[in-house]
Amino acid sequence: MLPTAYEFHWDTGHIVFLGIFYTVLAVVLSTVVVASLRARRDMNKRRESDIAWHESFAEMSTERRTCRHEFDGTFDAKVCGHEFACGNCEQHRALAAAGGGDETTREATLAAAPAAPATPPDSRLYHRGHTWVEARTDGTYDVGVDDLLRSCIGNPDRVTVPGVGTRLMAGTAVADLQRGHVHAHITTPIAGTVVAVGDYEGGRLYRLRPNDGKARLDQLLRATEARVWMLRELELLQARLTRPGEALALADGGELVDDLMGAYPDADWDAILADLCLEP
Amino acid sequence: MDRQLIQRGLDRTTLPRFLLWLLPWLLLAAWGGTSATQLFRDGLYHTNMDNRFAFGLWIILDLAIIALGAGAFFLGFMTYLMRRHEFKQVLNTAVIVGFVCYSGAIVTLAIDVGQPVRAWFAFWHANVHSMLTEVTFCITCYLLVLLIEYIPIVLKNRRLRTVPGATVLEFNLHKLMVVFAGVGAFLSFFHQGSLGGMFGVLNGRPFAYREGVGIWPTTFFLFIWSAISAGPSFIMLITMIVQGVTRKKLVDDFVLSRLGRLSGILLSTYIIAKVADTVVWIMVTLPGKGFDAAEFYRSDMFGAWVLFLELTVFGLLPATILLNRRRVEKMPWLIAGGFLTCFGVAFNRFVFTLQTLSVPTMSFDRFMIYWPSQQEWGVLAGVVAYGVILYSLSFRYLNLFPRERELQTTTGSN
Repeated sequence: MLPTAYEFHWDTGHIVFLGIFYTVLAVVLSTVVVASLRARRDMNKRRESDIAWHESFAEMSTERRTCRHEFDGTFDAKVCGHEFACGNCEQHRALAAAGGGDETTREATLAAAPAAPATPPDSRLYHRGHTWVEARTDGTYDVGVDDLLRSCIGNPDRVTVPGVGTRLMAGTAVADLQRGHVHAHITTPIAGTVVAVGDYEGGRLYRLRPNDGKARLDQLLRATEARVWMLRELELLQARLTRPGEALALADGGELVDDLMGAYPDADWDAILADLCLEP
Repeated sequence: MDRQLIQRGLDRTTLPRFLLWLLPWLLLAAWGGTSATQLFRDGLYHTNMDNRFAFGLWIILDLAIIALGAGAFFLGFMTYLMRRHEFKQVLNTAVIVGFVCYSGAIVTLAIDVGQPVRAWFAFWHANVHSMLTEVTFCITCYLLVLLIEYIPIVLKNRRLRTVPGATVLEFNLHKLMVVFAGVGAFLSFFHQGSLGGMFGVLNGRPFAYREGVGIWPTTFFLFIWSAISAGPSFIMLITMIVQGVTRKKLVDDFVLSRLGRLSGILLSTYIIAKVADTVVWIMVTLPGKGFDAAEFYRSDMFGAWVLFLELTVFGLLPATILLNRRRVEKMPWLIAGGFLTCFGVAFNRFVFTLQTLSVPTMSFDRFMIYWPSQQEWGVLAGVVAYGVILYSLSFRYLNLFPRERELQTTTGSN
C-alpha cells in the first residue's frame, strides 16, 4: 500500500489507484479539520448564541417565521428570511424609509384585527420570544415577559434572572421560569448590562443598560404589530391545546385565564413553552 | 432523564414500552453475538460455506444492504448537489439507514474473512488489480463519511445542544456537508460498481462473466444503476414503516411520492439496460465461450423463472407502477412498487452470488445447493437487529424528520 510495503510498485495501477484513495482521504480529513477550526474560531469570537439562534430559526415552523410586514398588512403572506433581524432586511429598510408601506392597507388591517385578549401596551416593544422592552427616561430599559406567556405559566415555582452586572447578548436565553418540571427559557430581546432585578410583578424581569448607550430595537415589534402577532400566537396556542378530533373554536373577545397550565394539565407544556420562547 | 433526551414537541412512547419494543431485537442481537463469538473463536467451520461456495449468505446480505443503503449517498447528492431540497425531509433518516447498512456490512465482512485481526492486510498489502481492494477502500472511506454525516444529527440532540460548542461544531460541519455529499457520491459510485465488477470479471464463471467498457464489465454499471434505483425506494419504505409503527405523520406525502417516482425513472432505465445486457450475454458472450444459456436454468432451484422474476416482477412491474404519476400518489401502489424494487435488488444480488456458484462450469460438474448454517443465520439476524436497534434509538432521541413537529401540530395532536 505504501512505498515501504514490499508489494508496492511504481506503476500506473498503484499510482492512480492509491493517488485517488489518498486524495479522497485527504479531502475528508481536511474538511473535518476546517470545520473544527471554524468552530474554534466561532467559539473564540463568542458566536455561540448567534449560531444557536440561526439553527433555532431554521427549525421554526413557517407560521412562526412570519414577516412583521404581514402583521401591518403590507404583504398578504411573507416569511422572514433574515432571522427577524429587520435591520438586515433591505425590504424593511425601504418600507421604513417610505413611511412603513401602504398606510391605508396597514391601518385597515390593524383596525380589522380583533383585540387580542391581552392587548399590548403602546409603550412597549415586543420580541417574538414573548418578551417586551420598555424604555425609561434614564436611558435604561425594562425587560419582561408578555401576558400570553404569563397566562400560560401561571404562578411559576421559581423565577431565575441574571444578577446585577451581568452582560447579556441579544437572543440568548438568560432567564428561566420554572413550574413543576417544565421550564420556559426567556430570551433577552436586547443586549446590555443588568442594572436591576425585577420582582416578576407584571412580568417584569430585569432592567438593562445598553452596552454602547443605545439599544438596537429595529427587530422588535411595535405594539400595533404586536396586536396582530399576539392574536396569531393565541390561535397557534389554541391549536396546540385542542385535543385530536376536537374542533378548533376561536371565539372573539374574552380574556385569557391566568393559569393555562393549571387548566390544561395534560398538554405538552414542555413543547408549547419551547415554541413560545422560540427554543428548538 | 429519558424525557430530557427527547426533542421538545416530539411525541414518543413511554420508556417501558420502548424497552419492550427493543427486547426481541436485543434477543436477536444476542443470537448474532453468540454466533460471531463462536466463529471468531473456532473458525469458519461453523458455516456451511466450502471451496465451492466461498460466498454465501453473508455476501448476499452485504451486497443487498449496500445496494439498499445507496439512498444515503444518492439523496445526499440530490439534495446538496442537485439542490432538490424536498429530500431534506428524509435526509437524516437516509444517513442513519446508510450508516446502519454499511457498518452492518463491514461487521459481516469481518466475520466472513474469519481472521479479523488481519483485516488491516487488505489496506497494507493492497492488490490494486482486485475489485475487492477497491471495494474495501471505498466502503471504509464511505463509512467514515457516513459517520461524519451522522455526527451533526447526534449533536442536535436536545441534551447535547446545551453543551457549549456542540451547536457550533454541528453548524460548521453542516456548512461543509456538500463536500461530504460529493465525496460520498464519488466513493459510492465506485464501490457499488466494483461489487458488480467483481462478478463480471469472473472469466471462469460464465454465468456471471460479462464483457464491458475498458476494465469495467457491464455488471459494474448495472450494479450502480440498480442500487440508485432501489436506494430512494428503501428510504421511502423505511419512512412509511416508521410512520405506520409510530402512527405519526413524519414527512409530507409528496416527498414519498417523489422518492417513488425517482426510483421508477431510474428503475425503468435500469431494466432496459438489464434486458439489453441479458440479450448480449445470451446471444454473444455465452456462445463465444461455448455455453448455452439454457444450461444455467435447468436445476430445481434455479429455473428460467429466476430470470423471468428478475426482469418482470421485480423490474418491469415496479417500474410501471412507480413511473405512473397518479399511482405514486396512492400509498398502496407506492408500497407495492417500493417493496418490489427493494426485493428485486436483493434478489439480483442473491442470484449473482448463489446461482453463479451453483451452476456447473465443467463437464463433470453438477448443480450444487448451499444452505446456511445456524451461525450464518445468527449473524444475519444480529445485523438486522443491530440496524433496528440503532435506528430506533436514533428515532427516539434525535430529530430524524425535521417536519415531524410541525406536522404533528398541524394534524392537531399535542
